[in-house]
Amino acid sequence: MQILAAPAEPPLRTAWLRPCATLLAVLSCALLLLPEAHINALSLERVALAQGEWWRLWTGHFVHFSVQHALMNTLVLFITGTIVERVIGTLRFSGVIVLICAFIAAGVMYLSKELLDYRGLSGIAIALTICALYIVAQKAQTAKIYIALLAIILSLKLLGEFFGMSSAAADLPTDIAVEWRAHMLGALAGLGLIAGIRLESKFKARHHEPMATGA
Amino acid sequence: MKTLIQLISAALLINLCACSTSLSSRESKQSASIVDYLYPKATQAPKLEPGMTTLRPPVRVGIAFVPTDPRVRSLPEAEKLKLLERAKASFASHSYIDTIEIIPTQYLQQGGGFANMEQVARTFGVDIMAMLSYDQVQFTDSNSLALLYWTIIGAYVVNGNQYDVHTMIDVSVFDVASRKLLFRAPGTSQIQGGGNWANFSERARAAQLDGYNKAVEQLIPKLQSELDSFRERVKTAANFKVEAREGYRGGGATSWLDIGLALALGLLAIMGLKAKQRTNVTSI
Repeated sequence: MQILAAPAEPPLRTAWLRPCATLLAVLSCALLLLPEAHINALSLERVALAQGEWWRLWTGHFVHFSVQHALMNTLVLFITGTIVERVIGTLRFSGVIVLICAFIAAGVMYLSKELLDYRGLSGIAIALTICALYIVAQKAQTAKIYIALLAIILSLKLLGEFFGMSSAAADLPTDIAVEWRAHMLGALAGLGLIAGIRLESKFKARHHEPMATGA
Repeated sequence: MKTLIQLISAALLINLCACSTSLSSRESKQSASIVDYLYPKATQAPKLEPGMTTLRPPVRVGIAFVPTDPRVRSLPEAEKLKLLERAKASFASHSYIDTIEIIPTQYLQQGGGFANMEQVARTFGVDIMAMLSYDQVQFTDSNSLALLYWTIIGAYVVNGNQYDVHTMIDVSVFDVASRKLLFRAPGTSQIQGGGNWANFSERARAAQLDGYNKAVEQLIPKLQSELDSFRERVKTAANFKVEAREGYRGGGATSWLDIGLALALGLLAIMGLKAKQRTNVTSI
């Protein structure tokens, strides 16, 4: 006879969804409905930022240049965000998103002096993808080779972008360039997030060690 | 004996003449005028044409001293560069300013006008020019103690000369394309002092330099305040237009590869969840 032992563990279908990642995905899609003038007021514009419109450091990531651009970015954010949020918790995930948004936006504006206007979630999506790779690799018992392969593919993609090979497939308007620096900064943020998770788990292990030995 | 008396009288006369020369007041002037530089042949006041000034932040600023006639004694170039460095620091802290180039005076032509300013701006790739003009007058006088200089010892111990240095430095900031004066900030100083016959020239020269430094010290906070108020004024003034500088627009776009990676990760995560649930299932 078999029973489900843990009532605290929800069924797979509901366990998958996480509030913050879902909300961000919905928000990103909902902003597509805004008229262009409102989208302009949210995008990461250098001139407006210099005039003190600091909210653009965060809102710029959630507006896009086209529907396909938004949907592709949102899909990656939703999947990888859910994986990360499951592990670090909704509150911390929200905080991490706030920090990553500001880090990527400020970094892109600093590094790309000629960049006038930036929109898109991909920097955050890359950060979360890298972190999700680490999380899945930690949890997986047999599929480590596949995860290593995915990590190599992601590294090659970022390297290719660094050397000028654009891999974006979103139908960006012709005058819009893919901002690869945002992806690099996202990768850096992802590595930072992994470092944070590792530090926390080490701290927890050290904290629980005396109790374990004592027992 | 008569000859000796005649010689002493002549010496005293020469000495008194020297004293009377040193007792007379003198005035020396160093000046570099922005008006003389921009409107060298103007016979009447320049007409101010109304028009739109377009700014494309972050703006590139060039900073220079107004050139003077090289034959006329002026502030040494090394000192000018030091003062420019100090003024540059005021511009550096503003986010709407990109780069600040210090332009040596040699690049500017005396009385070159706006044409010369535009030429230099193109050479250095700047949108805005901050021109430092100055006017320094030094008055030197002798007091009654100068009479003791004829004792020779008095020339080394008695402060019989006085100086009074008045300095004014002004920064005028121009938009090169529209030739409009955006704002200006002045700094003034007054230094008084004295010296004896032996050290007076040295002290007077040092006072001139000190006068410039003190004027710049007064200028910097005023310049900061003008830069702040200009930033606010641009937002509301009808004759200013802020446009995006030539550049590009960028999008953070994921590729099919990223979507594939995310889907694969999602799949692996679900498999992991299923495996976890399977382990939680216990058989009795």
